Amino acid sequence: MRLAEFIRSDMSAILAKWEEFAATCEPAASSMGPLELRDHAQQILEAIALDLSTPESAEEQALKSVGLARDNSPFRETAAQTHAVIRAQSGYDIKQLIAEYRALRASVISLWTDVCRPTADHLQDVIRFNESIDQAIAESVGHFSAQVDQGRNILLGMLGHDMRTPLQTVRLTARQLLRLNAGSEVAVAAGVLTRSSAHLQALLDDLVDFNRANLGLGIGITPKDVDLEALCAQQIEQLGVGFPDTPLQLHVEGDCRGYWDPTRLHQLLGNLVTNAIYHGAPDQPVRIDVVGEDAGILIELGNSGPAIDPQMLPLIFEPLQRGKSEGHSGLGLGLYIVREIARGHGGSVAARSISGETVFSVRLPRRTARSP
Amino acid sequence: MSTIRVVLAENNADLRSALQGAIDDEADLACVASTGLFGEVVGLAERHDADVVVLDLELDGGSALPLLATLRAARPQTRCLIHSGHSNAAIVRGALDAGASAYVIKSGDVDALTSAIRESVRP
Repeated sequence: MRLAEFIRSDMSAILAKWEEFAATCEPAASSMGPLELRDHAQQILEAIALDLSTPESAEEQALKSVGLARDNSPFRETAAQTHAVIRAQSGYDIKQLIAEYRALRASVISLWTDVCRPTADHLQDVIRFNESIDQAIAESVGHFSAQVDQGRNILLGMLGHDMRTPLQTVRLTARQLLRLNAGSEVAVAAGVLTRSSAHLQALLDDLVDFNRANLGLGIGITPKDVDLEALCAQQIEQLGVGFPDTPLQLHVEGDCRGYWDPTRLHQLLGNLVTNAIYHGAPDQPVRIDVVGEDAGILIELGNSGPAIDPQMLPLIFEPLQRGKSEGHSGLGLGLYIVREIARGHGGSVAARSISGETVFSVRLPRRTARSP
Repeated sequence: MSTIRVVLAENNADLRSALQGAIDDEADLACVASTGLFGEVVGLAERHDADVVVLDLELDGGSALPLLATLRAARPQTRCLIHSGHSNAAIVRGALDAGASAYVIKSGDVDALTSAIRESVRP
């Protein structure tokens, strides 16, 4: 008996084996009944049997082996794709999803071998069956990952929203405490609250932006007429309150007016300065040079300290890169956000690290409100 | 310049109290009333002759979005600002289309809110 025919005629026995294995996938399976455990197994097997009975050219076989199989499903999603989404929603992990297919492959071949003692003539059936299972796994894994990504992005979005209210309350209360003039002990404690909550706010903003960028929404730029000299002076003054031990040396030359997003430039400068403070030599000054050139603006930020490994330099703007620094932990998103803000303005960012100094350079084209 | 009269509608009691203090700290602003209840907002705006109503999007009793139209009809001279933790562009656009003068995302920087309040009543 050919394998396709066997799958159709012995469907009940194959599904019983599938259900038996699916029930071992704890903890998700513990609350599932037989129907949920079987889910789309029958449709997956029917699709495999149909595939085995359909003639396949050498070219089609080669395409399938690199994940470019023809789509025979009359539905928008294949049974393997729908199955993966339902398994993800039921709490299966990806290892369990793949293990189901491994068990299916083994049980079908074992049952078929017992019943019809295949000969060398049936080798092609085994090859085609393995290709079909691989195709179903590829379809399932793609949809499972997309489902997990979507869930994570929704969670991050909700987290970003729900944290803003308590965080703003903490920051405003710290501000009120500072204004009370209730003695140096209260002022020191309020200062700690202010710095820590500002750090938390920056992490939250980076997380929300990372999530937006991950969803393909871009970082969101709302340009206005900006005087970058005034903006930098204000931001440096604010940062100086949070980091009183590190001198921040701002030097501005040329015309620094343009059409950029002031909130985003605050964020860019904040991320670069805190990065320099956390990773630079303790108590050494951080140099911030802002130069208005004809075509745009150059912001250079330098700090002394250990050089960055040249092999790491091209990677530091990638998300979730966490550098080592004393007493500081971050998500590794700060420099990634800097790059996305620069790109969002049509600009760029680069880093160099030589002779004990690390310099970040941001170039932003000078735009006006009338620029395209 | 006369004081800008602000009615604050914020769902979270702690934040409401902190924001009220921060608004009152500004010489040209006065938080004349505050609430977390959807059903109280229009009445407070009427009773206290509000120049500006600051609305959290999610109030106890319902979304603040329908209040934008109600307030605009009842008190066209009053400006409404949304102050929310939502940063989703579609939500921001929806609030501005519904008649909000500005949309301020909640952050520790209260100056963004106080500047938006002043900006909204500027002729």
